[in-house]
Amino acid sequence: MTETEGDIASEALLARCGAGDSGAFKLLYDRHAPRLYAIALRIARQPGAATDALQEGFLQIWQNARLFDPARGPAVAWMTALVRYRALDLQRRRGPETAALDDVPTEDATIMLQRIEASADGRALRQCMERLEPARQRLVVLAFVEGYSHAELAMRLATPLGTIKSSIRRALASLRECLQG
Amino acid sequence: MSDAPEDRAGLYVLGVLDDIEMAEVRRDAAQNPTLAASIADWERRLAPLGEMAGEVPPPASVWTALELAIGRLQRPVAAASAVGDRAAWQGAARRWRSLAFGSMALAASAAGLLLWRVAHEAAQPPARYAVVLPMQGKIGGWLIEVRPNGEVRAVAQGGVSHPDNKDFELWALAERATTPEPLGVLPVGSAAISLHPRPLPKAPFELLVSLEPKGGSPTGLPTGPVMFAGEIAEPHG
Repeated sequence: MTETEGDIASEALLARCGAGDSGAFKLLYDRHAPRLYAIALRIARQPGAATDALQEGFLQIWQNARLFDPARGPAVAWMTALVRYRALDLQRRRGPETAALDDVPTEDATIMLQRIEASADGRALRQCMERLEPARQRLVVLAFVEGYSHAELAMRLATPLGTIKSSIRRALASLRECLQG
Repeated sequence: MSDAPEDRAGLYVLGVLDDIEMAEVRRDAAQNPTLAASIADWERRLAPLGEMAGEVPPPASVWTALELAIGRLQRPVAAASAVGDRAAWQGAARRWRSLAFGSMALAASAAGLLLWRVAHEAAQPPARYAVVLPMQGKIGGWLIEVRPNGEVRAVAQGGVSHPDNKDFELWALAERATTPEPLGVLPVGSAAISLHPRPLPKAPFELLVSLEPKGGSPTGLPTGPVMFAGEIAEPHG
């Protein structure tokens, strides 16, 4: 019988990738690439750069699969991180010239939060995000989902850099406290 | 400003740091298990935020390129040791098989314009390419183009960085040679540079990248660890 999506946990697929199983890699790719590509598109802001980020991120996933430690978190978190970092690297290197300064996504962060699935980690994070002040909630979303740096947030939201930095720091401290509590 | 590992890790994972700060966090995390663990914690905590981006099917070309690349890539080998241990770095390089077309395809989208232009302009023997990739699970590398006139062009791919007082130097190791020839210091930014080395070995030959003092090795041989490797393959018929 052929293995199908959903039969095997992503953590187990990663372990098989670590042993050189390219079939497991294909299952992982099919399962996670659409979500990771959506993240890369948001952050890299250009389809070409997003494609590069996805390719390079998945190549790293394959190359580093044997280093994945399930005790540190789920496979999807580890894979998300690898692709996001590639997208952030590409976007940062290209510089902030790619969009008009007032072109800030206006999607409501509260509504976007409803897209977070009901995994245990997702539920906890969503509850903690909903406890943040709306302005801080928006900063966290713009940073994580859209890939805005401190400096870019300050420019685009016409807010002093120091204010942005301290708001982000407080938001992270609140999240950490909430998620640990 | 606080430098607590938890805070730095949170800012890094959230993605608000600039490229220099990100590189610093990565460098420090490689040597600081507390920072590395904090990063993993934040990655786990914040990952569900990624679901807010929704889902978009990627172009089929991504999987095609990955399939080619993983078919060609050998697993990363242990980093060669540093100063003077030629047998070790040579051995490590030899285990690094040809990266030829799989990795080329992978890098080709980033350097697509370059590849396209060269392919269409070259009336003479075609240029040859290699991608030099990390020996260990780090990021980045270079697309190396060897032109028929012996000129070598290098374009950094994907976030290579080194300490301020260091440079990456490119070396060619011929098939039966015991010592590599220096080809020049590599860029880490996105700009392409041209190197004009002495006559290159006949293909196939290995390409190695070592970490050297600013300006390149003072001895004419690698003095630091070999961090990246690739191969210029024999031209295909």
